[in-house]
Parts: sequence; C-alpha cells; structure tokens
Amino acid sequence: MIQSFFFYFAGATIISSILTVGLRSPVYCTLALLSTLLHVAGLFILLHAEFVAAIQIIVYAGAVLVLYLFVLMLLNLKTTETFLKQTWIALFFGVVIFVEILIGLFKSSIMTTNPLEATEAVTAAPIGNTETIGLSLFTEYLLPFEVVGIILLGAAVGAMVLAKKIPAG
Amino acid sequence: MAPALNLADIDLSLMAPELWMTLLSCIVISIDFLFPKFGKDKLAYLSLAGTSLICLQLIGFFASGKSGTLFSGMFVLDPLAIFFKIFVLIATLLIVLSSIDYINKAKYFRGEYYFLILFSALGMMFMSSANDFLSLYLSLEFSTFGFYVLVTYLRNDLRSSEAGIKFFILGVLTSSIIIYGISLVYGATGTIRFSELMNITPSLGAIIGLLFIFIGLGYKIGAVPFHAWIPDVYEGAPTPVTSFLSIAPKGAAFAITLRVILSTFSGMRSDWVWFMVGLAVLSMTYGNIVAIAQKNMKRLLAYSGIAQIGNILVGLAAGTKMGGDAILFYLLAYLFANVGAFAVVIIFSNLTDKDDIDDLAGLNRRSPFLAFSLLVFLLSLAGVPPLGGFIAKLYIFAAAINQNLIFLVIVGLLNIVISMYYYLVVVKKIYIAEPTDSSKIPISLPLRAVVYISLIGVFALGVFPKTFMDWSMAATEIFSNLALK
Repeated sequence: MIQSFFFYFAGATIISSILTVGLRSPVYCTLALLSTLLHVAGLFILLHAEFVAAIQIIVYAGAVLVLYLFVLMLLNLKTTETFLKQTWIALFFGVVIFVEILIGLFKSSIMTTNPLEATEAVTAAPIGNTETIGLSLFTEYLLPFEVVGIILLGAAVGAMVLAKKIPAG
Repeated sequence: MAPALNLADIDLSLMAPELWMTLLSCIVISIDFLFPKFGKDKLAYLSLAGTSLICLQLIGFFASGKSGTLFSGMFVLDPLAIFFKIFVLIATLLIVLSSIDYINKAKYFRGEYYFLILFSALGMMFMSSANDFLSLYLSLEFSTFGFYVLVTYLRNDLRSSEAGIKFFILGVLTSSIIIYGISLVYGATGTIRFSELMNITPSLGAIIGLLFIFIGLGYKIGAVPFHAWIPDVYEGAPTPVTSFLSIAPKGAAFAITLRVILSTFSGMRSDWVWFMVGLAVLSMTYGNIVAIAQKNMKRLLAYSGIAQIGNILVGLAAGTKMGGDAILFYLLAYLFANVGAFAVVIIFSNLTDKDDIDDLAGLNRRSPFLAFSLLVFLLSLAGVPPLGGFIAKLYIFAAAINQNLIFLVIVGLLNIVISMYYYLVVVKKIYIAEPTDSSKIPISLPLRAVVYISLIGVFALGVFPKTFMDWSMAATEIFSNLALK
C-alpha cells in the first residue's frame, strides 16, 4: 500500500518537474512547479515527517509560489520568448552528473541499510516529531537559529536601501 | 534523550567579538534613523572606533591563547579563526576609511551603507569560526547578503544594478550547489560536524558531495572556471565595495576552505589534489593572460585578483602545514597591496569620475606620492623584492616544491613574467605618458591614511617577514599533524 503511494508521489514529482522546465508558458511552468512541491510534501508524509510536509506546503506552495505568480503577472512576459540553444550541452552534462551520482548512490552504504529500520527509529521517539524539531531548534541548533535572526535584520535594511525612494538633497 | 541546553555552562566570552560587532552595527543603524541630523561622517568614525576595539580584543585573545568550542561544536575559536577575524577587521577598517569621501558624494543611505559594511564583516567573522556544514552554509549566506545590497548601492548607475543582479543570481546558484553537496555528504556519512567527518572512511558519495562544495567555494573565491561574475561585478560596484569584495570574503572563504580541506578531509588528499592543481593552473594562466587586454583599472585588478587566487591555491594543493602558513602570509600581502591599489583608484575617480588606465596617464606629474604608491602596490602584486608580495610568492612556491609539485611551480614562475608585463604597462603610463590635464590631485585625510597604512604593510611584510611568518605559523597550529606526511 505504502509502496504504491510512494511510486505515485515520486512519479508525479518527476513528471511535473520535467513539465516545469519544459513548458512554454511561464504561468503553466509555475503551476507545474506547484504540483512538484505538493507531491514532494506527500513524500515527506510517507517518511513520517509531517512537520516538514506542512512547512513545505505553507512556505513553498503558499508563500513562494504566490510571489512567483505575482512577479509573472507584473512583468507581463511573452510566451514567444526565444531561448538560448543550450539543450545538447545541458543534456550532456546533466546525463554525466546523473550517472555519477547514481554510481555514488549504489556504491555507498545507503543501499545496504534497510530504510524501514531508519523510519522506525524516528517514529519510536517518545515525543512527537514536531516537538523534537522544536526542542533541538532551541537547544542544539540555537546558534544558527539566532544567526538567522540577524540575517533577517540585514535583509530588512537591504530591502529598504534597494527599494526606498532616494531622498532629495 | 531529550536535548537540553544549559546556558550557565557556556562560555560566551569566546564569541564576544561577534556579540560586540552585532551591538556596534545595531548602534550605527539606530543612531542613523533616530538622529537624522547626526553627521554621517561621525557614523563612519564610530564604526572605525568600534572595529578597532574589537580588533584589539581579538589580538588579546590571540596573545592569551584563548580557544574552545561553543554550541555543541558549531562555533570554534582557535588561533586560525582569530587570525582570519583580525584579517577581516583590518580590511573593514581600511574600507570604511576609503569609503567616507566616496559615499559623501553619493549623498543617500549613508548610514545604511556603514551598517551593511559592518553586517558583512560580522558574517565573515562567523565564517572564520564555522565548524560544521550548517554554520558554514549560514555564515556564507550571511556575508554575501550584505554584498548583494552594497554592490547595487549606486542606484542611479545602470552598471551597478547590472552587477548586483548578476552577483545575486550567481550567488544564489552557488549556495544551492553548496547545500546540495552538503546533503550528499550527510547522506553518505550521516554527519555534518567537521570533528566527526575527520574520522570517516571516504566513500564515493562523500567525494561527490565534497566536489560540489568545492565548486561552490570556488565561485566564492573566484577561481577559474568559476570566475565569470568577477570582472562585471567589480567594474559595476562602487569602488570601495569592489575593494572590500576583492579581499575580505576571499580571506573568510579561505578560512573555511583551509579548515575543510586541511583538517577535515586531509585523509582524502589523493582525491582532491588534482582538483586544486587544475584550479590553480587555470586561474593563474587565464587571469594573467586576459588581464593584458584590459583597458579599465578595476577590470585589470579583477583579473590580476583571479591570478593571485591561483597562486594561493598552489599552497592549498601542497596540502601541508607549510602550505597553510604560506596561504595566510600571502593573504596578508595581498590585502595591503590590493586595498592600497584600490585606494589610489578611489582617490583618482573621486576627482575625475573615471577609472580607465588611459586616464591615469602622467599621474606622476599630478601627484608624485600617488604615482609612487601605485608603483609599490603593483610591484608587490607582481612579486618584486623587497616587497611583501615577493616573500609571499617565494613562501608558497617553497611549500609546493616540498611536495614535489614542480610543474605547478614552473607554471607559477611563467605567470609572474606575464603579470610583470601588464603591471609595467600601467607603470609606464603613469610615469612616462603625458597627462591630458595637469592639475594637482587633492588627497583627503582618510584616504591618505589608507595609502600610508597599506604602504607600511607592504614594506613591513617584505622587510621583516619573520614576525608575520611566526604569526601565521602559530595560527595554523591545528594542521601540525600534517607535517608528518
């Protein structure tokens, strides 16, 4: 049962990500991207990572994609834009890197360990998944968390410098 | 086991410099919007005073041998981190000094400018202390964030906006490559801590992941073939920002690279050494040959910077403690010569709004002091005794010879000859050509200070290299186990 769900989500992710780069109209591309992100969220749920799945939907599907659509509508892009002819070079390098990663995957220990054992270890935690993430965010990973806060301050100032009207005189 | 954090056990004084820097940048931005009448020059001097105090504190840390890790090993303070923090802060001091005149001319967002300079410096200080892949990635983003805005600062100048967009897109692409590499390393080894990665047996997944991380870091330091953004961004950005961009992030990125390569993955040297050799040869040769054709002084310095990075990578390819020492020394020599050369360009373009090499013609008639300084800086970049650049190149090639990388040294020596040519073309312009406008060039006090400090630095590194070598050797103590191989 779970396996058939996995194949559905994984297959739909791959197909819609191909459509994301393959379709002509920017709006269709964005919608294909939305479908990719939703199916990836489904994969996360299969892995018992319901918090990551929720974040995936709220942040990517909710916030980022709406932003993309806004930009597309504001820019009023033409669908007949011509693209640089790089398909063959891109295909060549893409295939080389893909094969290299496949070889790496099959040679590493990921393939020999049973994925089911790994998921059981996670679900066996005494408290829920989300609580565990929250706890480690504020204890073990406190420093990165605080650093992100400072980065946001810088981003706010930066956005102002870039967007505010230049004061006269 | 529920994770726990006891703040009482944590010695926060280890990250005191970062905390002070955060406070200083917040004070600068607060004064800027709370008291709009407060002179913006005073904000620059406030930043200078604060940065110098933090620098003194770090020198105190170094003298007392303070070291340790914080937050379950994510943040490390050791002599190497202190060296690079002092390096970044010296660069910040010189850049704030060289910005004052330039930014006064622009007249807008001056307070925010100094805030963003301090903000980037803070990111680079975190970068020097990054001790796992998560803090590496975050601090890398942190420091480039400020630069995205600083590069685009001249909003009425189309070239500046273009440079900002290019820098942003390539920066984001680079970050995604790095984080993909990190995920591969994590998948293959199950950890992102440098201290734990030291003991893993190399697997193919980890090597491919490492390759992705190197490619990302290669973009950050601007090594060929990841250099494409450098000339356009350097030309379009405000000149003080170019000067900052050409030295401080490179230094901080080398702090990370040294830590990752020489300490964490030193066991995999046979896997990465060919990569470093290739990058070094390509960067040196490409940078120097393309520099010959440049007409713009900022582009010339950009290509010569690519070539200098190639020289530094020779030390990395050597992969020994001596290579590490040589890199630190080289970065110091490059700092003073490069910031000095850019200061001369800033002085000149403040007056004339031009930075083409042809405009520098007859500089000696207009200001003998500037002409002499530029001569010294360019000769140091080329590696002429008795200046800092000569000792630095000697040191780095000696480290390579010790590891039998004779081929690299030969390529390096040939490149010195090529680089001599285009540096001397500029020298010929400023000493022999006739000026089109023979009015004197006024030099303001802050910029005069930058030129004097850089001159002293270049000469001190060349005449008394022993002091600085001892310093860099003490800073790379963590690599001392490498000397045995």
